[in-house]
Amino acid sequence: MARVVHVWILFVCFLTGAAPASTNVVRGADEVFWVPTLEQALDMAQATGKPLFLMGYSLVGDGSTYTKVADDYCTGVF
Amino acid sequence: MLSKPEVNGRLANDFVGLRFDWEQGNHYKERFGFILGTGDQMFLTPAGKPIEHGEKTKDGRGSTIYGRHGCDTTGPVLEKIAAAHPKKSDELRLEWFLWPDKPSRRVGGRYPAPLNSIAGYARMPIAVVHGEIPEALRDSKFLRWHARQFIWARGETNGPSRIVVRRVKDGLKSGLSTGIAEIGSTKPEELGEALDAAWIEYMKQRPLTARGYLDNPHGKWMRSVGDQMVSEERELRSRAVAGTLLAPGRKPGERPPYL
Repeated sequence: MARVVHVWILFVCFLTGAAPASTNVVRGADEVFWVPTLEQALDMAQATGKPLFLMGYSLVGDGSTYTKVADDYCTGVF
Repeated sequence: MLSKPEVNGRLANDFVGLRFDWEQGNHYKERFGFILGTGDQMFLTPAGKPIEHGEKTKDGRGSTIYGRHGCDTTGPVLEKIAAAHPKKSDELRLEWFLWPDKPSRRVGGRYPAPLNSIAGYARMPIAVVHGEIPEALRDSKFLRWHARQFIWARGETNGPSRIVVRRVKDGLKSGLSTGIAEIGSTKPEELGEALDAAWIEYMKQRPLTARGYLDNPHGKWMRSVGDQMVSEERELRSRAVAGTLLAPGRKPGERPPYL
């Protein structure tokens, strides 16, 4: 069942803004090795000795991932 | 914060990243004593213990919340934590990235957030691995080069080995197909090239940064940077079309480490 939660896109924009053109980096957040669950993260941490970095986020229900802006389309926020 | 090279670079090299969705946060509420808020951050030791940053909470306990409600996550903060917990290996395993679907402690709840939701949120293509997992995907060097291009998932375990790359379906731009590529090759060089081609194809039409907040009164203060955000995203698209856009973790002129 889709679960609607409050989406705080301003944090997404602050935290994941596209990098300057000179670096050719897609976006900062994409550089990180993100894993899906705490269990997987702890397994990776045990194997590699690396500490964990957790970032809280929330989403609208998964039927609303896109919306439209003029003639283009964007990830959705409702 | 994450757009700063000294932050995202250090996180990529020395930390395990975990996007902690609300459902998962609620599932682990007793472990941490709270649900991590949107935009808030935490650091855990490799054993899973929260790392305090030195400031106190309102009730005098050591705070473990970083970000807007706590200590800013900066290069020096990451350096200090990494120095206290130096890594012993850069090993990567595919199973650490395969997107699962698990029951949470809330009745009817599932975690993490659904596959399509995270792919839409992160604006990334989905790569579903069917059949026997190619040996290349068990090579840390290969994963270092390709793991960050996709949200990975496991498909049918029987049948021929193939990787299906697709876009999120819901609300997709008119005329754009969900399917991007179906890759049958298992040889590292061919598989790598095919994954790169699929990723570039996605990036040519990657959705722009989420905009809804900009359009309502609460987000109006962001409108001055909205144009900048869109222009940067369009620049990335044009580089993808030109074939010059680098995948995450790569430097200009660098060759795949597994060849």
